[in-house]
Amino acid sequence: MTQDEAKKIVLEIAHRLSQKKMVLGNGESISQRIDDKLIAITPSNHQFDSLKLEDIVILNLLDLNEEGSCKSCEEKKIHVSLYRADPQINSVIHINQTYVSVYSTLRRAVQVPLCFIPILGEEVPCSYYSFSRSKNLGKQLLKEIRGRSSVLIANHGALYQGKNMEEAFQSTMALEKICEELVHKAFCYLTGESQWSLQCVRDYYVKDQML
Amino acid sequence: MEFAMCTGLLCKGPDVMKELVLKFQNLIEKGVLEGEGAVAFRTETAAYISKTRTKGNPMTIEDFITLEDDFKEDLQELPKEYFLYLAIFDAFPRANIIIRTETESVLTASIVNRTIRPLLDDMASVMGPSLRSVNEGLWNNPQKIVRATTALKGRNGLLIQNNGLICIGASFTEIERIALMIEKGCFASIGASFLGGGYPIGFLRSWILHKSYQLRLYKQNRQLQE
Repeated sequence: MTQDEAKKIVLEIAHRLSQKKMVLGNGESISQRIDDKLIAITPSNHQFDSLKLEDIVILNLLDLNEEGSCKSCEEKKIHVSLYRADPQINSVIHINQTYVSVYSTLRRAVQVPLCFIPILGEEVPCSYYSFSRSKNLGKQLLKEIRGRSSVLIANHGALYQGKNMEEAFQSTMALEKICEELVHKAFCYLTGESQWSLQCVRDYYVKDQML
Repeated sequence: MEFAMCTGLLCKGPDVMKELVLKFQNLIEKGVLEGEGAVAFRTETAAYISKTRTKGNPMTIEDFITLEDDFKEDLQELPKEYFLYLAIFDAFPRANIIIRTETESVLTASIVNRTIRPLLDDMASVMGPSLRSVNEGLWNNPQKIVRATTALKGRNGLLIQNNGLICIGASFTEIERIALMIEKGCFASIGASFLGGGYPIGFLRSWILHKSYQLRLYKQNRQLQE
């Protein structure tokens, strides 16, 4: 794969995630392997919707040297560790979607429904809580994600990997869908409502918290 | 530091007003600014506050009046946030922009009127160890206004009972990030409560995250200045 092809893949996924409102702020990152030594990775402090091809950084996996007009994202070390650990991994996505973030605050694994097992496996584990970008968290994530496509980061979001970008992207969509259903089902179970509605959520939450 | 540099604005002089209004309009379009709360900003020379906004109407320069101690307008015509915003600008030299927003989760959290502890580390880094809430009816009450500014100390946001969230920041990018993060954090609190409640981030960790976030912002602003 050429550098330009990898940059285009990263850019396309960044825009797709942005269109689906899966990203917020600038704490997210995407990377794509070019060859054994290089990856294309999103820059720091850039929002995905306004990202351009020239903003994507080329990062050397061996010495972490960067090539490009911007600085690479702050999570580059975890991306590099994933590529170094498994040569079959070609794409990594780190995003903090709304429902995945909600579920991550419970600090427990997600049991995957049957229809999503081919994408996510039977379970998506959750790391213990540690400062983001700390070495401890990096080691923990690396251990948990081995042989899987995704891992929840406690009180933060999730990390996804795949043999190609489409695979990693499908994992992001699947996990968000599962977490959304879990939250909605819990709400319906508690309130007896048939579906999630904003007014009912507000009424129930206010009543529950006031008690 | 120069005002335009801090806020991320490109224009200077008379055009700055036009650009500021456009930026606020942009916040409305992005869904960051919802409800009818007033917004305020200060330039190098003066501070301005918007009259009460009506949903669907675009903002114009004429919607803004000067925010000063010896106000010339009739007290009835002033937006209710007038004195609170004046006190905030006085107490927080870093605050260039103030908004009051009533996004869904933020409004729900404000109705409950309780301090919210951060469940997400992004939220902790942006808002500090907690998001405090104050009782409504503070608009013309000096003592309650002092209490509200105290509750805002070391933080970027404050919930006002039944009135959503007050957000302060140095730039539009910062305000946008703060408002979105607090909305997401409030949603996380609500969503996690249905699942049995999430684990909040400890006070000390939140404080450290917030300080490191502020340091990063300071460095970015310095780089911009250079």
